[in-house]
Amino acid sequence: MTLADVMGVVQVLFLAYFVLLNGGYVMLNLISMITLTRYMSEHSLTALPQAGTGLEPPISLLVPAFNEEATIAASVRSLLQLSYPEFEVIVVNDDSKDRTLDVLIREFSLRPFPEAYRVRLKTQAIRAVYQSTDHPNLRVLDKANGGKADALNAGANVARYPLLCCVDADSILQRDSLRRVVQPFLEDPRTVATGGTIRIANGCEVSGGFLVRAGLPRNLLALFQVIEYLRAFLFGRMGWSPLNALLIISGAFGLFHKETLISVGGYRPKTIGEDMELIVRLHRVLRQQGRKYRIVFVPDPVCWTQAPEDLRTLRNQRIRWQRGLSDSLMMNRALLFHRKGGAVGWLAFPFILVFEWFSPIVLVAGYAFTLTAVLTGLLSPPALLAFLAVEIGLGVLLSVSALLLEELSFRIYPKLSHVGLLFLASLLENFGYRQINSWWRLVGLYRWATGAQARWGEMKRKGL
Amino acid sequence: MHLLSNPDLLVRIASWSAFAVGGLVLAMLGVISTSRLVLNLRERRRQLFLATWRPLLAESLEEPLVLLPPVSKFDGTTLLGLWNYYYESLRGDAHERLAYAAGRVGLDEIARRHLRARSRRRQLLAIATLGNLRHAESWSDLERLALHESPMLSITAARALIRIDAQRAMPALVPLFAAREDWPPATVAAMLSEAGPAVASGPLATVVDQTAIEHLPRLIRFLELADPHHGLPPVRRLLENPPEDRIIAPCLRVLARFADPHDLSRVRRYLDHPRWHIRAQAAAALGKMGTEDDVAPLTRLLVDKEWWVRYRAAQALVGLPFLDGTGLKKLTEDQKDRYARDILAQALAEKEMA
Repeated sequence: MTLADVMGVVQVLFLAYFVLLNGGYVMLNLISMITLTRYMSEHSLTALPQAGTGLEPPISLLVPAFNEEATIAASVRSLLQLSYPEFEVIVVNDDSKDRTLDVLIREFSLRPFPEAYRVRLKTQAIRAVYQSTDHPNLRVLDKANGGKADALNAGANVARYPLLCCVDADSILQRDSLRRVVQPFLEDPRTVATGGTIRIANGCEVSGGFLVRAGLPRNLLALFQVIEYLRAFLFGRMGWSPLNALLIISGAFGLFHKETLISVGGYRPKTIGEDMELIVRLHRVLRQQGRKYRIVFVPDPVCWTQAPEDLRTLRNQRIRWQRGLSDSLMMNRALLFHRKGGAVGWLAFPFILVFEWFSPIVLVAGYAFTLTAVLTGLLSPPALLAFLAVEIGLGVLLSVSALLLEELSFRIYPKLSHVGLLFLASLLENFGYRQINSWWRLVGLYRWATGAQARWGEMKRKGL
Repeated sequence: MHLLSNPDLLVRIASWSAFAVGGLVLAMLGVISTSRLVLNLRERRRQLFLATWRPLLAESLEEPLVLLPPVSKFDGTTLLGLWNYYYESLRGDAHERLAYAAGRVGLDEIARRHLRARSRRRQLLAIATLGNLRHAESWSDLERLALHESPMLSITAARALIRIDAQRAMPALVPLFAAREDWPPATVAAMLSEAGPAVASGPLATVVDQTAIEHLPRLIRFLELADPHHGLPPVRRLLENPPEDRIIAPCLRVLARFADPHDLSRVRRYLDHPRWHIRAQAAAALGKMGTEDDVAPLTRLLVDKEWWVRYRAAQALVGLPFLDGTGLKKLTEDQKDRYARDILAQALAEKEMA
């Protein structure tokens, strides 16, 4: 076999991978299109006042906080203004080194409360429970440091209501987020978890803790992430949800049936991607037990989050995400092709494993292979041009189809110029951004494989 | 074009694929742009319509307007949306005035047309409108839609039927309330509350005996919304010989809701039930109806192995009207068990906060 033959075989393998990857995304896109259209017409009356019954199940909002002294008071104040019949806010101060706890005590008139909570999930020690005298539905836990997952577990231990909503302290919620995200629990008693669409807040106007006008960021990196989020949520998650094969609910905002969350052991503290790991574990355990359950994605934009605008923060985030993905899949690998695995074990898990977890290796190897082949003359310039055109074209096609889904549903970005700018971004991201992302994900994979110490890195935030 | 006729087959395939993908991208962009332009035009028309009709509907709330401008078929959906928005936002006399304005403009005909539309959104708006208009002529259509497999469509139709004639709707709807697991209990409870206990109680009580055991726990929960005269007898009957454990807790909730002293012995019987949620429910019920005789059994539950039972027992004790602050303080101090003391302290602190 000559080198040319080997290159030919490798070329066909890359091509097959590429066709399957994009074919899978196109299928998800079609499922999303049908589901989203149906969802939009079925839920059209929710815009009317009194659409809620006032009898929805009460919700405990868990807000882990670590060194949030600058923003925690405003965040909690906006959470307390959410429109929902009955909910409590539990802020978990995870041993902040700054004055987070002092700010909370002062701003919300907290006083120690003799809470006889149950330790159903093992956590770091809780030092004190505080109750607000101004807001009867606000409590604060002060505990020894254990990380975000540990803080959420501590919150779950003291939560009084049957549904737990885990929210990042810096998340910007829609006023009716809870009402929207609780709908699947009302419509189907088998529902154990729901999550909604997370959008990028950069470039938007925020007032009083709520988003008042959607806009696009001027920063190119953030703009690329708008496109990524549209793709990830509008067809990445929307596509898997009707098959009950959704493998992630974002840690920024997710709603869980408390008893089910506790029955599977809560969040796993030693994991980086604790949000995804929990969902994959829920699937694995509930499938193995043969329980009927639903994990549902709500397409409504319920939560806005700030995206990194500098390369360093973005790099740390992507490395962390890849490590989280690796942890989630490997810790729950028993789900893969499990005889009771259903669509999640036989479709979603293998798809994510091959086309998301393993893709950085294939993509970086693909770029290296192409470069080598061009340099050694094994790949002609016309062939390079043709393959690049397909690769970029398919990337743009998927982004544009996400834009189409957005057009069919929420039309968050009101101006035609917004659509134009997003289209431009979907073209530009193919020249450098996607490649560097693949590289970072490969680094994440390497660090996960070698067991390097995980670091959260610092998120540089801009005032909104 | 050189790429499209390249001698290498793979290159030719790739080139044609790129060409096709480019075409698809352009087509999608065309769809997005056209849709956005159409939408902008529609939005402009909608805003113009709303600018005329908002003040008219607001004015009609003050005094009945005899002359209202005709509504083009393109604006029917907007009018239905606006009218329903006003209707759901307001209460009392405003409803009659809105109904009068609807009559002047032929809103019922617009809604009837929308009911036959293929769009689910239009159908839902039409059903809501016909219900709010108390449109009895649409009864059979709405009755048929209440059996539709779509939960959203069927619930909206059920609510419309209740608004048109709750008395007539109840016998047909109550079996659905029990059997349709895809109808959220909160929505059903809201419909029953809207119908009122005078109308809902009889059909709810009647249907208990005809309901399959698997739907019984769901139905019993709705008996809390009935009047005691109808709500209590079926529950007492069921508790005489419960067919399944899972119906006991909802039955105890109904007894707690009505707090009839005649049911005390029925509740006390379940304080030692092996299932913890039944013990917790019995403790909660005693909190509403208990006597001094119940202090000792409730105190015993403060050391139950299940947290919820301890918590409900503590709440029950703290809520008993004859136990004052001093009595509760002494009760707390008398507890030798730390869990019992802690849970009582929490219940007391909660009461103080409230």
